[in-house]
This record gives sequence, structure tokens and C-alpha cells, in this order.
Amino acid sequence: MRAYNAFLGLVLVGGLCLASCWSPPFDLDISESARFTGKLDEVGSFLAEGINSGEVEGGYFLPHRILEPEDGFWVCARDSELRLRFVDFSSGSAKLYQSSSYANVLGKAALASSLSAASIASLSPTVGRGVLMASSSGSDGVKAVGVDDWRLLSSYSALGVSGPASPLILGAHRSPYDETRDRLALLYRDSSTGSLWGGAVLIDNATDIGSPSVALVMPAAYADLAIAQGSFFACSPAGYYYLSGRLETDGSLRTLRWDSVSGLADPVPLTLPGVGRRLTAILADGRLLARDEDTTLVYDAAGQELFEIPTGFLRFVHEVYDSGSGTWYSYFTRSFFIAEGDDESWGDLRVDLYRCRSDKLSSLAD
Amino acid sequence: MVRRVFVPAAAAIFLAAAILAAAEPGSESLPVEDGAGLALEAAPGLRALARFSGEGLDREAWSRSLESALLRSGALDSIRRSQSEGTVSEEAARLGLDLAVSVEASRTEAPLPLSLAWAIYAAAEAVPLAEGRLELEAEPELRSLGATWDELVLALEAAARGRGPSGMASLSISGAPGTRIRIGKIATARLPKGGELLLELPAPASYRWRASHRGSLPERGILGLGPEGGRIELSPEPLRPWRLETGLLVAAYPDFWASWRFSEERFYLRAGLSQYLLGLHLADEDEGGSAFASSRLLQPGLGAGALFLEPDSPWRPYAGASLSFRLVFPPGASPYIDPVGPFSLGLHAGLEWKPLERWAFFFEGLGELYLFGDGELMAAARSGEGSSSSYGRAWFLDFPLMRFGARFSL
Repeated sequence: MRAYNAFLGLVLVGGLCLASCWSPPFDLDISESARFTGKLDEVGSFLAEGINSGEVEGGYFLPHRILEPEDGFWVCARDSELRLRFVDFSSGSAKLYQSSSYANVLGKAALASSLSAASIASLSPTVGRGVLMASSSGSDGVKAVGVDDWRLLSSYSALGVSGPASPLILGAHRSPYDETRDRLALLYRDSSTGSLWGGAVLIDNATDIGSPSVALVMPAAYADLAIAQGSFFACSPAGYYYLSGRLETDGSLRTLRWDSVSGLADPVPLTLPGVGRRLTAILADGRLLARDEDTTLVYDAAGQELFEIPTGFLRFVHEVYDSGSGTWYSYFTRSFFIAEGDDESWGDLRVDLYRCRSDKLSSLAD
Repeated sequence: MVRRVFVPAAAAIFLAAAILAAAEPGSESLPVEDGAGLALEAAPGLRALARFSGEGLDREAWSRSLESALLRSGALDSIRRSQSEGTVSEEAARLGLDLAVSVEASRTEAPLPLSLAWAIYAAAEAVPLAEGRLELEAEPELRSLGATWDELVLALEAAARGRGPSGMASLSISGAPGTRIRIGKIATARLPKGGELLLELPAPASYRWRASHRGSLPERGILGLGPEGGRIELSPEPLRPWRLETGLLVAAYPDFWASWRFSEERFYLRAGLSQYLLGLHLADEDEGGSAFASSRLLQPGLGAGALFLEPDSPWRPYAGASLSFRLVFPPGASPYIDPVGPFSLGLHAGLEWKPLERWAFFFEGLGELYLFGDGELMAAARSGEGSSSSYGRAWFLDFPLMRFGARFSL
């Protein structure tokens, strides 16, 4: 019996050692996300192999802004750096090209928005891909960057900003204006006076973006609002300006809306108390989005909550207009890093692209 | 990576222990044919077992002297020394020998300081063929021990003459009609409708026998067949087809299964539940985390497989497959089948050890192939936890895994 006892002992001790390092291949959040995406139309998916986790950590995939994208950009917006790299998965296997790094004072609110091939024609004549970005206060802090023949982000043209003597960027957002044009809104603080300066410029997606200039004005009200860097500032298709961010004084959330007639000259902008989360996007129909790690809240133009979408790992990236059906589609991307064994520094990057008719977003609500 | 090292190692240890246990002398798993074959083929000489015991004596020297004296007599073909503490005649029978000789020395008061009580047995018989006592006036010198055994050697030669395999004897067997019985290597028979069978076998001899009847646990034993004949009465235990088992998957997550064995316990069907609501997770405890892990996942399944070796074998290898589905229980919502990995095809191979009548213990190696889901997302769910399992776009292979536990026969 001693042999049997020894055998049992070995099995039990060995078993308890094993108990230390195994778990089922299951993650509730991933399963919930997979279940949710069943409600969406899958647009594409790719697996990029042999990736250094440090280069993609905290980032997201920004597809080229067309109906059936086969490339795009990996965007990592960190505290002091905005890192972009071109991603091509048109051949079946995904390839991530060399990244470019830019100064970033807006943190995760840094703007990186896909430009149309026509917009970027002079900066990326061969590849026809580029990004409109806003991340710092310098003379080239807001610019259009094109992808060159080596698939590197190289040539750029800076957008001019006029108004404040010492401009300090606080926020930027690009939102749809109509089927062919977008509006880029910028918010600055004149660090010499402390006043806010804001404005917007139309971007025609059918023509070369060139080097437009944005004429900023001081808002008639709240010009001295101590809003923090990384705030949301955008102009809706109807002409409303929205500001949503935290106050530097006490960290509380403040969301304001200037009217569509007077714009920033509106002497009495509305405070939108129904918005309980910093806004992150405006849809073509004027609805507002506010995303956090688990859900995306959808508000109407007046800031009243309409519904909540359990987006989880999914991130809304932009809308694309389908001229054939006259429909706006909301695009979402999702990414997972798959470590190789117990070496968490290397592995594969899995990216999924989905879309949903923007007028059917409410069907995604719980 | 640790998992990949330890699981095969544990499996190898388990199998090695099983092989050692199976090879242990005197084990019930010794081939039946061996003992019976030796007993029958002992002519012209016989084979005997010798045991010497006594306090305060050079046991090795006395044993060697006894064995030499017995072997020199010419009545024996070979002799072996007893290795166990049990009844010497039973030990001889178990080893397939014909005779057993026992000598027990004891010190007495002067003028006869040493007394040697001896007995000669036929294998498996309790009553000695001959016995006596040698009273020695003085403890002999070791080199002159040989002469001490003269009386015993004469008695052995007389016993051997009466035990030679020269005759036949009747063996009566009773049991359920249709029972198949095998007597060593020389006879295989099936009990007729009346349930009584009479065989004529060489005697005296000892035989290992084994009887099997459909729906019953096989019986086995050792028979010492003397000139007067013998009898075997079979009363087999019915097979127990139903079993309940609980196991510990990768020594972490308890699971529960019920199984039904059929076709003389050669095959089984099973149904059960793997659960991940509560499990052990000792690595995190070392790092300050909880010693327990929990995932909101259940995995009910069905399976089938085959068992090898006979139902009465203490060690039985087995192998089979299971099909299960993954049921997710999100908090505050209805359960649903996991779209990431809805189905799992599991293959398992194991070894069952049954030391008790109704309890058995098992150790399995297994692999789980998840199908019709998203293998990359499953890999992402496991990412960073030291796994190097294989995956593709629509499949995920979790291999190797191990599981051990206990089975109870209802």
C-alpha cells in the first residue's frame, strides 16, 4: 500500500501545483462583446502577428473612412504622445508599418480623423491615405498628414489658426456637416489673457484639403471658463457649438451649447445638465455620443439621454455616408492583444470592424 | 508554460506507478496462466516453499541449511524461500508451488536448549501432510547444521511420494448456467443448463481459476486439488452499471458526471457538468490575490468511451470523447451559449484504480477542441495567463489538460 500512497501523494501534490496556473479560455467581457456584435454588420477583421505589445497598448484602429475599408491607422493617444501607424490588411494578412510620433497635450482626446483620398491627394498622391490630427498647440499642432510610398506618415500641411496671441489648444473635433463635408472645430485658450477662443472650418471631402485657416473668436459668454485641456469641442450640422469637459477648478463636468444662429456670439449658452458624461462625438443627425469603457450614451441635440449602448470593447470611430442608399452608417472597431504564451510583450493583434445604420442605433440599446 | 511541463510529468508518474503496482509480486493482476501452468508441469520433481523462523538464531544460515538439505533429497525440483508473513501453504499456492515446509525454532530450558517444530503442507491446504519436532541437546555448529534435518528430509520424501502428479481427481463446479470458467491453462468450460459441471483434472496440483458470467463481476481463486477431488461454488456479484464521479479539472475546478457502463463494462456513456463558478487559483494567492477563481461559465456535456482489461482488474485504462457546450451566466441577465466558443469536443484517456469494492480513483489526460466559435477571441480571453494553446480563426485547442477524482458505483 505504500506504493499506492506514494502515488496518490504525487498526484495530489502535482495537481495542486497545476492549480496555480490554469484558467478556462473564457472572459465574460469578451463573450458579452461577441454576443453584442451579433447585432452589427461585420465589415472586416484582421489578425496582425508578431506585434510588440508596447507599440499597440492603449490604442485603437481607425479605418479609412469608406464603406468597405481595407486599411487604416493604429492610433495610440497617450499623455504626451500621439502615435500613428498605417495598417494595411487588403492582402488578407495585416501589416503594421512604422509608426510616427507627435507631441500631444490633449491626452486621449487628441484628434485623429481619417481623410478622404481626395482630401489628401497632394500629400499622398500614390496611396491616397491620410489623417487630420490635432494634438498640440504649436504652429503644426493641427495638420493633415499623408501616407507616402513607404507607407510612412511623412508629408503634412499645417492648418492655420488666427485669433489668440498665445494659443493653447484645449480641444478639437471633426464631425459631419452634410453628405460630402465635415466641420473641424477647435478650442483654444489665449494663455496671455486666459480667454477662450473657438471656431470651426468646413472641410470638403471631395477636394484637396490644402492649408485652411481657422479664424477663432472669443465666445460672448464663458470666455473665462476654466475648462481643462482634452475637452470636447465640436460644431453640429445644425450649427450648435458644444463644449463638454471638466473644470480645472474642481474637476466637475460642464457641458454647454451655443445656439445655431449666433454661434459663439450667443450671449446665453445653455448648460446641458442631462449630460452626465463627457461628450465624445456628434452624429450627422445632430445626436451626441458619450463613450466610456463599458457603454456609449446617446443624447439628443438638447442633451437629453435617449438610450445607452453596451459597446464594451467597441469604439465608435466615425460615420460614413452611403450615397447609393442615402444612409449614414456608424462604424465601430474593437481590438484584442493575444500574448504569446506567458511572454506578454509579444503576440498577435486582432482587430474587428463593424457598422450599423446610424438611424438604427437605438436597436443596439439594452 | 509550467502547465505544459507538469501535466505530462504527472501523467508519466501516474502511469509509472500503475505499471509498478501491476508488476508487484503476489498482486492479483499476475497472469492467471502462470501459476496453474507451473503446478501442472512440475513433474518429475516438485517445487516447494521453505520457511525458517526462530528468535536469536542466524536466520540466514539456518534457512540456507534447511533449503540445501531439502534440495539434496532429490524429492524436489526446486525450492524457494518464503517472503511473506502469512500462511506458508497459501503462499506456496499463490506462487504456483506444490509443497510448503515450515520450521519454527524455539529455545527451551536445559538439558534440551533448542526445539525445532516442523510441518509439511500441500499447497493451499491447512492440514499438514506431516509434522514433527526435533529436540536438540545442544545448539549445533553452523557448519554441521546439515545433519540436523535428516528426519525432516525423510518426511518430505515420503510426502513427496504421495503428492506426485500421477493421478486424476474430480472437480465439481456449480454456478449460473452459461458461466465460462478457465482452470489454469488446461481447461476452459461453460456451465451447462443445470449449472453443474464435473471435470477430471491431474491431481494433486494447485490451479488458478477464473469464472465469468454475463452481467456479473468475474470470480477468481486458487484451488488445491487433492486425490479426493474438489469443488468450486460460484456466486458472482452482479456488475454495477451506474457510477457517479467527481473530478478536479487541472486540480482547480470540480466537476460532476454520471456514467452508465454496458456490454460487460467495456463501454460507457456519460453525462455531466464542468463548472467554472468556483475553482482553486493558488498562483494569485502567492501574489496577494484570492486563492479561488470564478468565471460565470458552465459546460454541460455528453460523452462515450471504452474501457480496457477485465471488469475485475484493479487497474483499467479507458479512453473516450465528450461533446459539451458553454453556457454563460452574465449577472442580471439570462444565460446564453457562448458565441466565442459554443461547442467543445473533448478527448480523454485515463487510468482507473479500484482499491475498494465500490470506490475507484482515476487520473485522466485530456484535450478540448472548441469549434464553431472564434478561436482568436478565446486566445485573447486566455492572453497573458501563460497558455501556449493552439488556435485558429474558428477553433481553439486546449491541450494538454489533466483531471483526477473518484468514482462511486451505485
